[in-house]
Amino acid sequence: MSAVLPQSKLQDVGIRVLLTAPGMLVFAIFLLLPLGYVAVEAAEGQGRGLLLLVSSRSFWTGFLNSTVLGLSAATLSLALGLGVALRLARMGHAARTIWLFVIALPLTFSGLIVAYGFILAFGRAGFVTLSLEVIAGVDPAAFSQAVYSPYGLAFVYAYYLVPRVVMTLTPVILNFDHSQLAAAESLGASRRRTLVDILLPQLYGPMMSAFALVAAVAIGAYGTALALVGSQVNILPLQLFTMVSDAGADFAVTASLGLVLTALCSIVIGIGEWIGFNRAHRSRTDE
Amino acid sequence: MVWMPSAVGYWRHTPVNFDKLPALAKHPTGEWFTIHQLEIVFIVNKKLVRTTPRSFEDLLKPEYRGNIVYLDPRSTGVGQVMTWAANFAQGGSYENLAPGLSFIERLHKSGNVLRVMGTTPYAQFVKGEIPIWVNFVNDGLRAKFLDGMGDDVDVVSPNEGTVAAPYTISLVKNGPNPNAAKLWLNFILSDEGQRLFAEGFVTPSVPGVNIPETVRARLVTHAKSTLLDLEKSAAQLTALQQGWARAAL
Repeated sequence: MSAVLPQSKLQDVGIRVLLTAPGMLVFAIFLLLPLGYVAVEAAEGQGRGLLLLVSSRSFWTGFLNSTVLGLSAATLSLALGLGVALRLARMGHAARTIWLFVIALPLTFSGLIVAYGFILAFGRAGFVTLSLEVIAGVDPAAFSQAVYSPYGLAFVYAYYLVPRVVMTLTPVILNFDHSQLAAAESLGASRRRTLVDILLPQLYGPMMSAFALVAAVAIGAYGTALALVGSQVNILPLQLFTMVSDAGADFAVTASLGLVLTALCSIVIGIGEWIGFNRAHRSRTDE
Repeated sequence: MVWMPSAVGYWRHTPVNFDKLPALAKHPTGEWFTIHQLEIVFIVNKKLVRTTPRSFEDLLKPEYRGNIVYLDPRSTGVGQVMTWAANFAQGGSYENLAPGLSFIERLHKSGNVLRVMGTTPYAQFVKGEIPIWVNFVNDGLRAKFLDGMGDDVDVVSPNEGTVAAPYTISLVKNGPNPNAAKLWLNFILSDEGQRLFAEGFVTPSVPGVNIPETVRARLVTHAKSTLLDLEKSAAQLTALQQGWARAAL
C-alpha cells in the first residue's frame, strides 16, 4: 500500500470538503458561535447560574410541562401524519402533488400567525365559536377556554407539526414495496396483520425520527405559546422569554436555561435519529 | 457584553417646564425627566361584562369569574405597576408588599383571572377575546376612540386610587447633535408637545399644562393617582417579581 493517496482519491476528498464547506460555515456562524457566547455567559461565576436554575422549583415544573407538551403534541401529530401519509401514498402522482403543496403550506406560517389564526377561529369571538353558539348553544366563554389552555396549545402545535410528519413519512411509504403485503395476504394474513407485521416495522425508524423532530420543535417553540396561552403556562421557552424581556436581569441563569433547552431539544432529536439509524442499519444487514 | 459601548452616560439638561415637574418625575439636576405618564385602569368590554368593576376590591367578586387578563410582572413594566397599584389599594407601601401579593393570590384563587400575558394583547382585546383588561390607560382610550369600540368599552380608574408609571428620557452623552436633541426635549415638554401626547391618549407629565378642553375631555379622571417612585420600586423589583410568582403561579 502506498503512503500517498492516489490522485483521484485526493480529488474526491477535495471535492467533498468544498461541497460541505458552505454548510459547515453556516453551522459554525449560526449555531456554534452563538452557542459559544451563551456558554461563556452561563459559565460566569463557576456555574452559579446553572446551580440557581436547577435549584428552582419552577424550572422543574417547566421542564416537566415542556416534556409532556412535546410528547403529547408529537404523538398526536405522528398519529394524524401517518394516516395522511398512508392515504397520500395511494393517490395518483398529480393528486398527491397538489395535496402535498396544500399540506406544506402551514410550514411557511410563523408561530404568531398560527396562534392568531386559531384565535380568530376558536377564540371567544371566533368564527367557529360563535357559529357553535348559534347552532348548538355552546357557551363561547367555556369553549374558548379550551383553545387558550395547554391542551389547546398541543392542538395548535399539531397544526404545523403534522405537515412535518407527512413530509418525512410520505417518501418512505412511496418506496415501500407493496408486493410484500400482497404476498402476505395471499398466504392468508388479515389486512391488519400485514400492516402490523410488515408495514409498521419498516416504517418504525422514520416514524421515530419524525416523532423526535416534531417533539423537539414543540419543546423549543415559543411564539405560538406566547400569543395564545400567555406567560402563566410554565414551559421552558416561555421561562426563557420572561427572563430575556424587559424585566429580566440575571444573565447567567438565562444563558444556562438557553443551554439546557438547546441540549434537551438536541437529545430528543439525537435519540430519534439513533433509533431510526439503528433500525435502518439492522434491517439492511438482516437481508 | 463585549460589544457594548463603554462610555454610556447622560448630559444634564433642564428643559422647558422642568421646574413644574414634581420631584419624583425628575432627577434633581436633569439627568433624566418624565415626558408623559401612564396610569393603571380597568379596560372593560361591556359586550362581555354586565357590571363594570369600579375598584380592585370589585375584581374579587364571583361575577368576574374567568374574566380578568393582565400582564406578567416578570416580563413587563405594566405588570409591575399594576402590582404596585394593587398593593397601595390594599394598604401596602414600598417597604410592605404583603397586602398587594395577598390580593394577587386571592385574585388567582378566586378563578377570576383568565390569562396572564407576556406581551400586550391589544388585538385580542379589540377582537373581543378579553372581558376585563387591567392595563395602562392609553390602550383603553385607543380602543374606545380610534379602533371603533366606542361605548362598548369602559375605561375606569379604580376607586382606591391608581399608580402612574413615569416615562423618562435623557440626553445621551456624546451624541452627535446635542443642540438638536435639546430642541427636541424642550419641544416635547412644551405645552404643544404635551398636548400631542394627550391627543395620543398618554397622560401629560407637566401638571396643569394648557391643553384644549376637547382633548382633556377624552382623558380619564382618577380618584387618586400616585406617581411611581422609580428608585424605591426598583429596589423592590426582585421581591415583587418573586413574590408575584409565588402568589400567582
